[in-house]
Amino acid sequence: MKLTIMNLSKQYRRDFFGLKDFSLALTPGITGLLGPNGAGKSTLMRILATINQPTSGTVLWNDVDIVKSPDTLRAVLGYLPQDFGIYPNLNAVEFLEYMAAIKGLDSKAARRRIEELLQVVNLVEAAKRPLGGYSGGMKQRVGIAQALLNDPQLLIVDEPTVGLDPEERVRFRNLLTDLSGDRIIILSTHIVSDVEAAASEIVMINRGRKLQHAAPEQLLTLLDGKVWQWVISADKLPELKREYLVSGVLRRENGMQVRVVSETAPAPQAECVAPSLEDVYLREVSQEAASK
Amino acid sequence: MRNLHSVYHLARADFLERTRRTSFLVMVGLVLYLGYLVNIGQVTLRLETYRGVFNSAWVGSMMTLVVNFLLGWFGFYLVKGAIARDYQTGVGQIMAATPLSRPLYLLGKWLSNMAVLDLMVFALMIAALVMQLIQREDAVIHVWALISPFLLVALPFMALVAAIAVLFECISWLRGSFGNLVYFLASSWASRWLPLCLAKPCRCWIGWALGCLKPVWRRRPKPPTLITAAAWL
Repeated sequence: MKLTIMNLSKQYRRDFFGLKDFSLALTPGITGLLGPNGAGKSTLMRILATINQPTSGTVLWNDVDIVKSPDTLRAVLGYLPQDFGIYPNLNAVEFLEYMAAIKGLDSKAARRRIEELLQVVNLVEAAKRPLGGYSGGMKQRVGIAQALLNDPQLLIVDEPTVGLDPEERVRFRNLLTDLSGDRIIILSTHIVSDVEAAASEIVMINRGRKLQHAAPEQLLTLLDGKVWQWVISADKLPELKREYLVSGVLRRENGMQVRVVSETAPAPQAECVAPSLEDVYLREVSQEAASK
Repeated sequence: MRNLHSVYHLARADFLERTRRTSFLVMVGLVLYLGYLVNIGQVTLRLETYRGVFNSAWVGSMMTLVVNFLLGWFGFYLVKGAIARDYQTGVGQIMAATPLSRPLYLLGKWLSNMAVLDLMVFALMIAALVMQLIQREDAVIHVWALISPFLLVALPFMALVAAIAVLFECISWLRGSFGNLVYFLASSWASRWLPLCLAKPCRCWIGWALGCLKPVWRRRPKPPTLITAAAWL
């Protein structure tokens, strides 16, 4: 099972690319697609979900071109779009029955699968209530359930934790980890902690280009000995932000505790600390922006 | 077989979603109220000073006129929006990522539109039966005479309205308010000219064609009332 993306580009206007010359090879496991808003994540997701077509390039699912033969992938695809909506007057069971039929499951198999999934996403008690009365997190769980109906080999979830409270986010990340057996999961987000917890590989993307693709631990080695932390007075913060890449600020009793990414120690009292994925992400995005 | 299963569930989900809305109940209420007006003689078809006896054939025909007139006009607005809703809610994106083909999707939407309209037709059919029993001008119920106008006239007409609603949603410039206006004008125009064309096909089709070219070119025949127009349908 493999998904290969080769030199993929999506041009929206003459001078604007959603994706540019993007290549990637994915194998089973969770791949976190990390990038700021407007980076091209949703464009990539929609092309992989066979909803949009690329301007150029190829996407191969087990060596079959999905642009030419989308149904090859659609049969084994689970997709949760960023702006997932529901039919408010249907209940969860009715909605999932509907989605199961659309995906080609027969009634008996669908019923069995729906029962399983309602337990997995913890919606058994609310299963007969109209979806219009669900909270954002509950709707998102229905979205995940519909994406899993056909037991997909490729699961694409686009910004799934937007609108979820912290507890629901943790539950969702755990659910993804449980699901990541023998399937490829692509998790797109701009929230670093989401991918940090769940992803076995991380792809960083900005302005339609791939910045990094590696395992989280490999990405962290990029900033070994380059992250510094110390306390400064609040009035020095603007100046520091102009000179260095500040990846974190915390208010303390004696001032502001800052976290800075720098090749050398930015101040005598700065202490070298272990890098986080957020440091790496901010460094990559700011470097890419600076190169423009 | 799998395709039929998908289409059935698509139509079912859409049907359930719409029939559970308040707007649908309001429309059913309106249809039944019009049926009541027929029953008390407020809406009727008169041939000079004569009117029909409230037997099964007459009640069925009158009710069919009412439902054709009302749903032919407003039913379109009630059922239009099934595809737009999938687009707006994002459900359409999920469908686009499934093996469901476009023709099957449209077939499902058409069936769902038709089911919504047909449900109202059936509600009025039941009402027609009740009204004949209440009126008791002719206490004998002739089932086929009562329901045949619904089955042979109203249901095919609802199928047409349902299909037009899907068609309008598929054509980008007819999707929005302009499409609503076009349908309103077209249905008004059709209800005015179709009876004449059906009554005197040759002369009227020429008149219709000339009317298209220059509406004030000649004196038009007196237009029929809407209810008599619907009668010809």
